[in-house]
Amino acid sequence: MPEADPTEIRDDSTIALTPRQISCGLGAEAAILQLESGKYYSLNPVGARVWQLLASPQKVSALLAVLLGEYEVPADRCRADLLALLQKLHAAGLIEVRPA
Amino acid sequence: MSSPSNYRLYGLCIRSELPLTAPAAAETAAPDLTVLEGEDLPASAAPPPGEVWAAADFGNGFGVQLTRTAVGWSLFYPQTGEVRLTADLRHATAHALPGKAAILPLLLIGSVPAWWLNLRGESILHASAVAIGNEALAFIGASGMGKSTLATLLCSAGAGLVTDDVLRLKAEGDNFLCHWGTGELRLRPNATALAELFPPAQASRSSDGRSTLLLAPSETALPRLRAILIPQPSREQRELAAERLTLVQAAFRLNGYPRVYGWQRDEPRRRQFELFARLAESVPVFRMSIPWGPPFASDLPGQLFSAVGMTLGEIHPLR
Repeated sequence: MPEADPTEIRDDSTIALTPRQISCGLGAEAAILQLESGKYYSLNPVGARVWQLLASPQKVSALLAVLLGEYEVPADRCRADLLALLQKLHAAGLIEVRPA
Repeated sequence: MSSPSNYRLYGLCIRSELPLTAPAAAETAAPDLTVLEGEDLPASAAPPPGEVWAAADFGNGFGVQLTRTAVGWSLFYPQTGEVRLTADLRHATAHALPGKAAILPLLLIGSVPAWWLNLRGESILHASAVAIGNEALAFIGASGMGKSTLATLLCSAGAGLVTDDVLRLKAEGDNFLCHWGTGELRLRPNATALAELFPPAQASRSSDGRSTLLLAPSETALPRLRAILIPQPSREQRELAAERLTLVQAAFRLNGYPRVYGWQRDEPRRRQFELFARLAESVPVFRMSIPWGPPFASDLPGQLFSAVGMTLGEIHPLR
C-alpha cells in the first residue's frame, strides 16, 4: 500500500502560516509578500477571510465550517474552492500542511 | 578639496566638502549628515568585507552594494566609487574610482540619501512630484516612463517642483507630506527640447552630460500628497484616460517601483511593504494613459490635474 503524501491537504490536515511572509489587509482584500522568493500575492475577499482565520493554525474542516456559516455556497463547491486555494498557498510557500 | 558648505535637501541639512546641486542651507545649521571627500580608490577596488544587506543591479551596467562593515556602512558603486558611512549615520566619506570624481556629487543628491534615509527607517518613494498650492502629485514608474518629462511640463504650466527622483514622505495622521528635493530636473536626451519652455538662465548641464533645469526651490510648508500617478505614455492615444487602482493593485504597483531595492534582509523589506500598504490606503493611485509628444496638447496639465481631482489654481496651458 503506498504511503500517504504528508503534504496532501485533507479535511483533518492542520494548516499554519509559514514565518517567511508578511501580509496586510487592504479593504476586503489582502496582500502578501513571500520573503524567500520576493513575490507578491493578492487574495480576494474570501481568500482574505481564510488568511485571516489562519492567524492561528486551523484544521481544514474548521475552516470549511466557518466559510459555510458565512457564505451561501454548496458544501462540495466550498470545499473544492478551499482546497484549491490552500494548494496554491502551499505551492507559493505561504502555508505549511501538517498531517493529522 | 573645497571648504564644506551646508545644503538643504529632502528636509535635511547636508554639510558637504563636495559641491552639490542643491539649495544652500544656513551655515549655522546643524548638519544631519556631514560628507567628506576621501582619497580616490584604485581601479581594482572591490566592496569591503562585511554582511551584504543589499545588492542592486540597475540593468545598465551600473549597480550598488550595501554592506554592513565592522565600522559602519559601505555603499559601493562598481562604476563610480564608494561612500562609507559611520555606524551612527552622521558622517560619510566619498571615494571616487579613477576618473569618476565628477559623478560622485550626483550620487550624493540621489542614490546615497535614498539608501541613507532607508537605513534611518524613513519613508521614501522613487518619484518625481509637483505641487499646486499645498497639494502635491507624484509620478512613479520605471525609468523612461515619463516621470521627469511630466514634472517638467507641469512646472512650465505653473506647478512647483517638489522633487525629481527621490521623494521623502512624512506621515502626519492619515496624510503624507512631501519634503522638497533639489530643485533640479534632469531631462532625458529625447526631452531636452522641453528646456526651451523655461528661461535660458535656468538651463544647465549635469556632470554626466544630461540637460538639467534649475527651478527655484519652494520655501512654503510641506505639501500634502494628494495623488500618485503611474504614467503610461502613448503616441497613439488621443485622449487622456485615467483609472483609479484598487487598494491591492495600488500597493502592488508601489512595491514594483521602489527607489532602493535588492534587499537581502527582511526588516527593510517589511518596512517597505508596510509603507506601501499604508500609502495605498491613504493616497489614491491612478494609472493614466497620456497622449505623448512632442508636441504635447496645450491643455494636458489642466486635464491631468483635473483627472486626479486637484484644483488648478495658477495652472495655465502649455506654450
